Amino acid sequence: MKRMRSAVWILLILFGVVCYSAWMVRDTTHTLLAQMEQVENLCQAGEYDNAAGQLAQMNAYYEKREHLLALFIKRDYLSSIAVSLGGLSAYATPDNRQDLSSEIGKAKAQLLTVEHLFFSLL
Amino acid sequence: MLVSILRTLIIYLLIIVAMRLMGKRQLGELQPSELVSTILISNLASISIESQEIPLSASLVPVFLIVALELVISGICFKWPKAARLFSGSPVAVIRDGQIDQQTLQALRFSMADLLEALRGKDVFDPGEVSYALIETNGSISVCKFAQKETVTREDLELPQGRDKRPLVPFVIDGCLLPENLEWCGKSAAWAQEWLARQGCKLPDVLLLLGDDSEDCKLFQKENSPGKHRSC
Repeated sequence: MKRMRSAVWILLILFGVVCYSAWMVRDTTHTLLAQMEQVENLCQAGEYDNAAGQLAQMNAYYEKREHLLALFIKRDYLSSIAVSLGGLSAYATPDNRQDLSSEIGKAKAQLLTVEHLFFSLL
Repeated sequence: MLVSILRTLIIYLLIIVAMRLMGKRQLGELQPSELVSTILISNLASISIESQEIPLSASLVPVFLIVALELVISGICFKWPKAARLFSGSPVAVIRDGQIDQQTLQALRFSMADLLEALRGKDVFDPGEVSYALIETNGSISVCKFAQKETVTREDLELPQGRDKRPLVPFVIDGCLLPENLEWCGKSAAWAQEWLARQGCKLPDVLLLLGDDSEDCKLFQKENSPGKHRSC
């Protein structure tokens, strides 16, 4: 019955890992989506400097989380999100407002796809 | 390349841990659920080694989930025989009193050639010699021959009973004493050292020392041993 105890421990650890990974993915995607929303709002209000600052903050946040996310998500997906997020700061200017919202739309779609792939059963 | 080596190393070590957790049952004849988990584990382990873009957790989480399920199922089967029948099936008799049960063979999709092959594996070349044969749940065959076809024993021949000796067990392997075996035969490490000294042999020069509860031992010395001693 010692092995049954090990089985219970393994199941508990796995449950912990699953909960942590679900929280990590959901929290990261939701935070990034909210930050992108904020960037869009700032740009609409003409506060481009603040928007650039927000984008820098967002990239720093993603950089921190990327290593942890790599434990649960394919690296290809994570690097493509990093590329999309990294490129957004180039559009935070009055001349590129249309491009910024289009690029933000793409980045949001990528994030939602990753979230969907992580949580979908079938 | 270094990453791939490290990932292989991690997977290799963790799969060893997983197999050790599943116990010796997994290394011998496999029950259906054990076979399934072994196949799945081998596949899952190879995924992370082959594809570096996939996170290690994608392999390790399912592997350890399978290990845990296997442990739980074996625990349940141990406690409730009905569950064991559900997961592993039950043994089926295919020969009774020398008569082959053809209907059962058909139900098991066991051809005559399969049956003969399995019997030959048990040193039985004539099914007529078999009083009772069972196909076990792991697919192996267990055979009970007719009494007149069994190998004679001392008891059958009414020979005087010999002294019940312990079987030969290793006392020293590759220069390392095995105190448990010595103790089981009523001896000590000091006795082994003394015995070796009488033979003019030192412990590090011993390749194998076999013995039982008698005073006799069989010694196999190392060839070219000086200077090539390892610690136990």
